[in-house]
Amino acid sequence: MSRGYLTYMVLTMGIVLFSSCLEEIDLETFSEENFVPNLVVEATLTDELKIQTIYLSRSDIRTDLETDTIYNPYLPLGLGPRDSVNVERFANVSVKINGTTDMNFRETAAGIYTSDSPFAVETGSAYEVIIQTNDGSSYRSVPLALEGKAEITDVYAERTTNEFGIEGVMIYVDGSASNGQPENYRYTFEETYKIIAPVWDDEEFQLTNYDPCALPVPTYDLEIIPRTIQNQVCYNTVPSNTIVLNNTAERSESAITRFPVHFISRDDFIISHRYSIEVSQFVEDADAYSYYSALSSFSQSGNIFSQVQPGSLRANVSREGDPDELVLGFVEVASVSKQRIFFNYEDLFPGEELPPYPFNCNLQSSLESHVSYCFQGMSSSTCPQSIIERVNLGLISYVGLNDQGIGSCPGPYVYVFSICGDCTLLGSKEVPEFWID
Amino acid sequence: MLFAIGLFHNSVLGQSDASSTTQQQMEDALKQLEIESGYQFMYLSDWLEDEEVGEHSESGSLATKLDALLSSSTLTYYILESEKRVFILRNSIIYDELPEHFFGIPGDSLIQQAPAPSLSRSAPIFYSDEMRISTREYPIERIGKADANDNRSEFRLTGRVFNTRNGQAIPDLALRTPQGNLLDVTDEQGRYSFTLAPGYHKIFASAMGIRKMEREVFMYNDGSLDLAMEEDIQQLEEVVVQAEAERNVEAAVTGGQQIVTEESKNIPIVLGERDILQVAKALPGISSAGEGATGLNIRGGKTDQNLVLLDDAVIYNPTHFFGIFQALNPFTTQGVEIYKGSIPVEFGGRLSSVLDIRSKNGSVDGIKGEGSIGPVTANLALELPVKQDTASLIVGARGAYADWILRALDEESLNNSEASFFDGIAKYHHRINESSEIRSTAYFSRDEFSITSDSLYNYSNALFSFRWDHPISEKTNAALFMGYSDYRFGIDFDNESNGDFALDYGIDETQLKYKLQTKVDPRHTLTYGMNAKYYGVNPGSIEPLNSQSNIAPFEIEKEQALEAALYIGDLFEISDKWLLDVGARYTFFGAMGSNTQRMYADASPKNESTVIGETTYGSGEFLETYGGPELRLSARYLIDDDLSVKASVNSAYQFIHTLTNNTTASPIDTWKLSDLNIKPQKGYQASLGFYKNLNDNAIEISLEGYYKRMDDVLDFKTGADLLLNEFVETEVLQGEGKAYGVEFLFKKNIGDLNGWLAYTYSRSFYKFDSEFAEERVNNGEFFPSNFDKPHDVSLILNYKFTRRYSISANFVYQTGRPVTYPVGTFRFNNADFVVFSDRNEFRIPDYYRLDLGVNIEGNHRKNKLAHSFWTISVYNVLGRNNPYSVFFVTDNGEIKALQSSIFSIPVPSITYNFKF
Repeated sequence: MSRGYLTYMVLTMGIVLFSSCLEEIDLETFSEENFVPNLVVEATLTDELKIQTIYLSRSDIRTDLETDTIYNPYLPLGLGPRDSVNVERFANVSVKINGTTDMNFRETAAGIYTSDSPFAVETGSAYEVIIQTNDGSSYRSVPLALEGKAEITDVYAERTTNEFGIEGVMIYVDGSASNGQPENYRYTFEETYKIIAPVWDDEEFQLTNYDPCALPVPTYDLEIIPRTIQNQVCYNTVPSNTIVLNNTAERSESAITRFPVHFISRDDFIISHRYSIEVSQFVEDADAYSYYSALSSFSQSGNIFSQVQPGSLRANVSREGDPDELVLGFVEVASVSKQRIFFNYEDLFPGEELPPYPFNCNLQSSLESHVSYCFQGMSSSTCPQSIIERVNLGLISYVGLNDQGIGSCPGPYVYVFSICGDCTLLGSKEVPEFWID
Repeated sequence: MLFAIGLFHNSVLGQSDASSTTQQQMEDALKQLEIESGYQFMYLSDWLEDEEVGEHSESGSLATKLDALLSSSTLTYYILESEKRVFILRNSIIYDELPEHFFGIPGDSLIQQAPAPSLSRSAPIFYSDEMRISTREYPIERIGKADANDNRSEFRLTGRVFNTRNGQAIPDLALRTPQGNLLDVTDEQGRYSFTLAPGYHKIFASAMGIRKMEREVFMYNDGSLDLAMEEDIQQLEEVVVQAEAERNVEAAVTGGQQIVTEESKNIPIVLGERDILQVAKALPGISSAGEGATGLNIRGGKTDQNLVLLDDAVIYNPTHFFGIFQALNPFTTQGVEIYKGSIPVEFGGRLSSVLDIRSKNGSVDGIKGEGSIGPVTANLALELPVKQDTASLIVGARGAYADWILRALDEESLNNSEASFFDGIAKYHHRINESSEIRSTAYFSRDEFSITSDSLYNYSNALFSFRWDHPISEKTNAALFMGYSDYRFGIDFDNESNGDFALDYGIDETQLKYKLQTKVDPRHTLTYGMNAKYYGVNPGSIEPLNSQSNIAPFEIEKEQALEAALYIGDLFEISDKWLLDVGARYTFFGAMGSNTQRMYADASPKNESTVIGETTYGSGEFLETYGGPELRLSARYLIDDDLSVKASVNSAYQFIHTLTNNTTASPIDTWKLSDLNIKPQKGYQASLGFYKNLNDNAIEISLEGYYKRMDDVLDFKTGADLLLNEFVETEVLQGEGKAYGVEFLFKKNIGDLNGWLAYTYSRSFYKFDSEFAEERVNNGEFFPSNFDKPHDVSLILNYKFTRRYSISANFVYQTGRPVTYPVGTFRFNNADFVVFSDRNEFRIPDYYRLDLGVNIEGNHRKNKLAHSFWTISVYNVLGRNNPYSVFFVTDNGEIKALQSSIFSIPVPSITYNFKF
C-alpha cells in the first residue's frame, strides 16, 4: 500500500468523524394566539426545621431566551438583556398535613411563597400542596411522604480528568442511609468563591460636572482619587442549576461512596483563589426520581445517533375538576443532608498557573474627551469612546498614567474594563457568614 | 410450435373446406399435382384464397411445375425429398411471424419416429441445411416414446433447470411459449412441469441473470428434459436492481422487490461500502427515520416489524455502526427478496415485511475470490470447491479498521471515541443430486463503539442455519430447515469509580421449519408446512466490572416462549389471465415459565399502585397463550401480456417487540416477548397495484397503493426507563397504527443508461388512547410517526460509457421527519426547560442528497491474475447539511437548540475491489 493511499484513507476517515456534527440553531417562537401559559410549581419540602418555600410561575412562549450570565463590557451593568420569569402572583398556597392541619404560605417575594412558620417534614406524615391561583383555579398535589433518610458522611475534592479528557476538580460525596432503604438520591449544591479583581488599583477616576453636550467642547472635571470603597476582594454564591441523580438500586451496599456530584474544569476562574461548595443530598421517591431523570434526559444531547423521545412531563399536581390540564414542574418532600467544604487552588494545583480570567483585561487607553454630542458640523473621529464617556457609563477602572503610549488614540491614562478592576461586578464584598479563610 | 401444428391441422381440414373460387382453383391445381407427382402436399387451404393460379406445366421436374403454378402467387414451396412431401408456404408469413430459428431441423430422425397417434400424419418438417448449423444451439429434444395406443391430447413435460457454472438449481425461471404464455415457473429446486400437445413445440426459458434459452421439443409422450443454463454475465453488469422482469407483471405478489448485490455495486453509497439495505431504501415504500438510523420502516411500520432472514434464519440487527453499513458481506450475499405487500404464507411473525436475504453458493469448479479495500473496511471472500461439481464452501470476512486510523491520527481528542466492527460468514452447499441439496450457513458479526471514554457498547449477531431440500415424490418437494439466531448487546461502564458495571442483554431463538410444495396439477401448487420457534430472552443483567465496584449483580427473570405456525397456501392459476395465491396460517404463541408475572387492577393504569398480585409459573408452564388465523390472499389479472392488475389482503400477528424510548431505533433496544401484560401486535394490509412492462421487459412500471391498520402496537410513556426494568409493562402503551400510501416505480433494467425512479406518497400515524392521562399520547389522537415522510423521491442512474467506465448517480429527496418541538419554556431548578409541543407536531427541514460515483473496471486481459474494479464515489456531493434530529439542551441553565447531522459535507471515498 502506497504512502499516498494511506494518507488518503486517513483523511477520509477524519472527514467522516468530523462531518457528523452538532450545531446550534435558532429556535422559532410561536405566535401567542393559541398559547395558554401552564402553571409551573416547584417545591422541595425538607425535614429541616425551617421556613419552607414553594415557587409558582407560568411557562413562557419565548424560546429565544437571551443569556443573562455573560458580562458585556460595553454595556453598563443592568442594561443587558435578562431572562425574566412569569411569576404567578397572588395565589393562596398551603400544605395540608395528614389531611387535617393546614400550613399556610404567604407570597414574600413575587412568585415565592414561604411558610408562615418554620416546619420540618416528618416521617409517616402525608403532605399535600394546595394552590388556589388568582384566577380562582384550584390545584392539588398527590399526597407526598418521606421516603427515607440518609446522611452525607463526606464531601471531598480531588484533582482528576473527566470522561471528556478535561482536567479539573471533581467533587465527590460519601454517604449512608440512616432510615429506611433509600435508593434514589438527588443532589444540589451551592458554590461560593472568592474573586480578586486582577487589575485592581488603589486609585480611581472621579468625574464631576460632566456635560457631554457642551459647546464647543464637553465640560467636565476628571480627577484621580484614592479609592473610597474596597472592591478588590469579593465573594459570589451560585446555586446549582443541573440535575444530579444517583441510584443505588444496583449497588451491593446502600452506602454511597465516591459519588461524583460536580466537576469544575481547571480553566474555570471560580477556583482561582478559594472555593467552597455546600452539597445537599435529597432522598427521593421513585416518582420524583423518574421525573428528574426524564427532565434531565430531555435536556441533553446524548448520543447523536439516537435521541430520546421528548415530550411534556406532567407535574404531580393537577387541576381540580380538570385533571387533563398540563401542569409543569414537580413538588416533593425529601429528607436532606448538607455538607460544606473549602479548598484553595494551591491545595490542588500547587505552584501552577491560575486559570485564565474569563474577561479581557488588556490595558487600554483613549482620548480623555470627545467631540461635543451637540456639535452639528462634520466630525470624522475614528478614535474609541473617550475616557470621560466611559467613566460616566461606569465601564472602566483606573490603572495608571499612559506613559507608554498605549492605544490607537493614546490618552493620558491607562484603564481596563471595570470587571477587571472592580470585583463587585461579579460578586459581593460582604464575606458570607459561613466563610472560613 | 403452435404455428406448425396449426398449419398441419388446417391442411387436413382445408382439403374439404374450400370456399372461394380462386382458392378452389389453386387447391384443385395442387391436388392434381399431388396425384401426378406422388408427393404429399402440405398446406393451409386458407392461404390459397385470392392467390392467382399459374400455368399448369405438363413437363419438367416437380420443382419446375410448382414454380410455374405458383409463379403469380405469394406462395413458395419446399420439397422434402426424403419424405416425398411438398410444403406450400407463404413467404411473408414465414419471415415476418416466425422466428428465424424456425428453420433448420435435423429432420430425418424425427420422421423416422412414428408420428403421434392422435395425428393422422407426421408433422411437417422444414428443412434447411445451412441454417441448421448457424442458428441452432440445441438439437430438438424428442420427448418420450411414442405409443400408438395413447390417444391423449396432452403430454407432461417435467424437468429441472440448473446453472452450468455451479450446478445450482435455478428457481423462478419462467418457461413460456413463443407467444409469451407462461407454461410454468421453476420452484426452489429448479423443477418445472407442464403439459403440451403432442408434436413440435418451442419453449423459451428465462430468469434473472440467466442467459435466455430457447429449446425445441417434440412431444411423443410424457417425459423429462433438464436444462443446463448459463449465467448472463453481460446482463448482470448492466442491470442494477432487477426484479425478474416478467415477474413484475405476472407474479401474484404485491409489493415485492428484489435486489441483487452484484447488480447494485455501482450505486454510490457512503464510504464505498456496497449495501443492499441502503439500496432498498431507494425503493418505494422503504425508508428509515434518518441517514444514520438503524432499521427500516416499511410501509409505515415500525423497525421491529420486519422479518429479516439470512439464509432462512432471523438476523436481529443486520447493520453495523448505527445502521450506516450493512452487516452482510457483499461478496457472499446473493441478494435480498423484499415482501412489503403480500407476504408469502410460509413467513410470519412480523407485521410489515419480510427481507429474505440469501447467500451465494460457492463455486464448484475452481477456487474463486473477491476482495476489497475501502476507507473503512477490508473484505475478502473465497469460494472453495469441496467436491467437483457437487459441494462448495464460501467464506467471507470483513473488518473495519477505523480504530487503527484513529490511532494513526495521533489526535488526543479522538482517543475517546472509537468504533469498530467485524463480520464473518461461512456457507456450505452440497448438491446431493439434481433435486436435492443441503445448505448450511454460519454467521457472526460484532460491533463495538464508544462515544465517551468511560462506556463501551457492543452488540453481536450469531446465526446458524441448515437447510435440506429434497423431493419426496414426483410432485412434492420438501425443505427441512433448522436455525439458531442470537442477538446480544452489552454496555461496559468503566470510569474507574466504584460504580463500574457490565450490562448485558441477549435473545436467542431456535427454529425448525418444514415446508412442502406440491404441484397438484398444472393449475394448483400447494405450499404447506409448519414452523416452530423457541425463544429465550435475557431481558437484562448487570454485574460489577471489577473488584472495586460495589454494583450488586442483578438479573431480570429470563423469558421463554414458543411460537408455532401451520400454514397452507395454493397458487392457483385459474386461467391464463387469473392467478390467485391464497393462503391461511394459524399462529400460536405461548409465553412460558418459569416466570413471575404481576397482575394489575382492571380499569386502571398499570403502575406500582395498581398491582393486585403476582403469579409464579413453573418451568415450561404457559403463563399466557395467544394466537389466531392469518390470511394471505393475492390475485393477479393479466389485462394484457405486459399489463396486469394485482390485489392482496393479508393479516399477521407479532409476538415480539422492541422496547425503545428513542425517536429512532438503536442497537441497544431490547426485544420483549408478549406476556401476561403485553399483548401481541396485529396488522392488516390491503394493496392494489398496476404493473406494466415496456420494450420487451426493458422497462418496468408499477403503481401500487396500500392501506394498513395495526392494533396493539407498542409505545412508551414519555420519559420511560426501559433498560433493566423488571416491570416494563408499567411503561408500555399499546395502541393503534394506520398507514397508507401510493408507490410509483419506473425502472429501466438494461441498456447503457439504466436505473430507476421511485416516488412514494405515504403517511403513517399512531394513536395511544386511554382513560388515564398518563397512558395517552397527544390526547389520544392519531399523530404522525417519527418516520412519516409523505414525499419520498429516489432516482438512481447508471451510465456506461465503455466496458470499463461507468458513472452512477443517486438522488434522494424526502419530506423532513416529524419532531417534537419546543413551544415555550419554563423555569425549574434554577434552569430553563422546554415546554414541548404535542408529539411530532413539527417537522425538521426536508432532506435531499446527491451521490455520484465513477466505476472503473480493470482491463479484461485474459491471463490477468485478478480482475479489478475501482469505485470512486462522493456521498452528499451538494454538501447539504441534512438535519438528522434536533435536541433542546439545557446547558448552564440556558436552553439551546442543537441540530445534529450525520454527513453534513461531501464525503469522498475510493474502494479497490478485486476478483480472481
